[in-house]
Amino acid sequence: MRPEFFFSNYFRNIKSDEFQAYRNKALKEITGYEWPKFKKSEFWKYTDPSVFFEGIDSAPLPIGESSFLNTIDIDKYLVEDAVNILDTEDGLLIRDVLPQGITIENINALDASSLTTTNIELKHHIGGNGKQEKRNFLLLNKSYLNSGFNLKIEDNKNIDIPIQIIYTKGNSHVFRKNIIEIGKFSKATVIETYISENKNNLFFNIDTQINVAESANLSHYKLELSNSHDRIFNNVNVNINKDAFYNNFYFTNGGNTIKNNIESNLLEEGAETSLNGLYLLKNKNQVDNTTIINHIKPNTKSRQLYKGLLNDESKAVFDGLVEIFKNAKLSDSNQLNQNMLLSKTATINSMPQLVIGNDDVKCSHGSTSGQMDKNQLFYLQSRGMSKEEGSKLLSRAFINEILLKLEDENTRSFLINFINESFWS
Amino acid sequence: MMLELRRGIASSVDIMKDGCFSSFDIMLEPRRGGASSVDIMKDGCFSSFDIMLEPRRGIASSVRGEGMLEIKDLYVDVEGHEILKGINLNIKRGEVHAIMGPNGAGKSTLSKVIAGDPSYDIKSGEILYNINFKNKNLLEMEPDIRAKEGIFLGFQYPVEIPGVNNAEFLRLAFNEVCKYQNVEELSKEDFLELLKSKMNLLGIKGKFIDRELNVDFSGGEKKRNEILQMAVLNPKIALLDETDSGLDVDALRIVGEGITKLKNREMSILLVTHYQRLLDYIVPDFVHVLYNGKIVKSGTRELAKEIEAKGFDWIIEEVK
Repeated sequence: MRPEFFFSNYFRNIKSDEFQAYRNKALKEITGYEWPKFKKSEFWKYTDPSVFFEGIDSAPLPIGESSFLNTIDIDKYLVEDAVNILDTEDGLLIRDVLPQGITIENINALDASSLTTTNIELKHHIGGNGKQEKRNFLLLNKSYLNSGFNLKIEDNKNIDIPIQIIYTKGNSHVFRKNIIEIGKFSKATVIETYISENKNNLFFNIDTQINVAESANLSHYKLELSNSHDRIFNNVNVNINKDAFYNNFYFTNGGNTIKNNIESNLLEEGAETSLNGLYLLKNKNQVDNTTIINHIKPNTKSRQLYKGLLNDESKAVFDGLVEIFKNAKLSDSNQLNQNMLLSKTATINSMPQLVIGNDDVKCSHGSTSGQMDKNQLFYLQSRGMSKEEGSKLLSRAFINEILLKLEDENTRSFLINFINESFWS
Repeated sequence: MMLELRRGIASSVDIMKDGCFSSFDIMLEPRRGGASSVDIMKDGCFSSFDIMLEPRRGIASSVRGEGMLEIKDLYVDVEGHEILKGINLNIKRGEVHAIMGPNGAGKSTLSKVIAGDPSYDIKSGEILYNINFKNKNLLEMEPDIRAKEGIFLGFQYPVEIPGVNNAEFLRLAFNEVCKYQNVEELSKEDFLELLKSKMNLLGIKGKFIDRELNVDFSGGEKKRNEILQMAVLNPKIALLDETDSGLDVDALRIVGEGITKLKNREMSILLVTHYQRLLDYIVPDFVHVLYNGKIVKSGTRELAKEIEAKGFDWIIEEVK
């Protein structure tokens, strides 16, 4: 399949020449490109890329024609005490007053001015397997770009109210670009919430680019509240500068096929990152998490914890690479992936990897996957808990550790409620 | 304070007056923990008493000496190895039985099989358990049902469960039992009160109720926690598997005295132990020696003392 044939009449409704030129340039680059076959590359070893394109060649509804907001109860997705911003196909709706020092702009294919005011390319180091494959998915993102936002936080601002951006998926395929830039010595929490309640077999290609300036501190929670139909290709690329800290929490719920890439670049001394992931799968859900942490300079630190609960016939992949560059002495890295299989038909492929370019480092990594501990279950039963209740308690306990990585308590209780309703109902 | 008789749970209450216990059968709203002063009518007059109310299972009227647990010809394998080779044991209400024996004799297996550990393979035999005067085959019941019917296993190695709060777990377990018995569940606050009263009773201090279940507990803390769980769940039969192992003198005293305080005339205890030191606190009615999967000798407390003095070898010689 060739990308230029996906949807021939997709370009209607585009009013900005500049926007169109930007997309055309990318489209030209991948024109003629043959999409890789399943298992033919490391990057697509466990996830079949053609799944993303199944049934997609029929033209999607032109954007802007369907307001999805009216059909769902948005309030139940709002994190308490956060500034809630609804990112809809009709533009951004800011529910409260934005704290001082923050600006947010919409990237919208229908808005002729959106590209001219927006810097939508940040330069990033790209490492690990599948550079070419990733690049092409990102070119695809550019070629059909139709939505996104650009969030900027000025220098020296301590924003103590979390900013929640709620993205309501509509009826069209989504090619989305989000930019987050946080200025020097600033601190903020940004929560991206993706809601999907409709049953259309939609394709989402979402690219998020982030810059954390010197001594800034950004907590970035990405909550993917998917249904079982979504096919999602997610890319997050982060630059972390001197003494800056980037804390990521990636929650994935279900999804037909989801491929999450996150690449965190520790560009300067003192840079630190913490990547946390939780995926809860059932039925035939499939999630493929690829993380890359590049320790480019000395005295950089990374922490990584990914946990998954897999039920029914679900499948998960954890492919985590930590690379310590040659001169990145005194790097400190710790990586752990843990999975609990709730059924005998669920499968997990876990591949923590460490590439170390010098001797003077402190690194550890590991992976555990298995069924529920029988001794623990019997202990609970011997105290009067049914097997079902005991299992529930143990699987909750298993994910408690990772939920505590959500430092914002309101976000944590929001997520716990969501999990109670969607996974344990 | 007047007793409320709303809920139709019959309990027998032992009331001490002038140094003597009298037994009364009354219907009352179960209110756990904490001593209450209660007015009880006897011979047409109200008298005031301090009593401790405990949840009781099933119908209250009970007779000390009736059969509680009967193990018949029990054969058990684990991973293809025969561990228990024909166990016969009869425990009556209120009795204390001690099982002693060398390592690897099958002592722990016996207590775990009674509690329902699924890792054991029951080849033959049965375990009859008295539920409201009817003998039920315990082996057909799930482990949690056994627990809800009053069987408690104090683990030799209490399992660590990260991510589960100790007190919250105890409340969940307690309320599961309440639900099963059709008794009102306790709120967090009420349960905490109950828990504190049990801790006071047992002389247990420490913040371990607020920690993760058994995680990073010292050996002594783990065993004390087991006894605390026993106090909260108030079983009919307590199976105590090497509860004295790994305890220093002080911890042994707390655990030993704790069990003595919890032991009422209705509770039977099966105590698995290697040494006789716990038996200084809990005096057994019977002592059995388990060797190579069989009970090879039974006796009274004197047998335990003999073993303490002479070891097991002479008994093993006798068997051969």
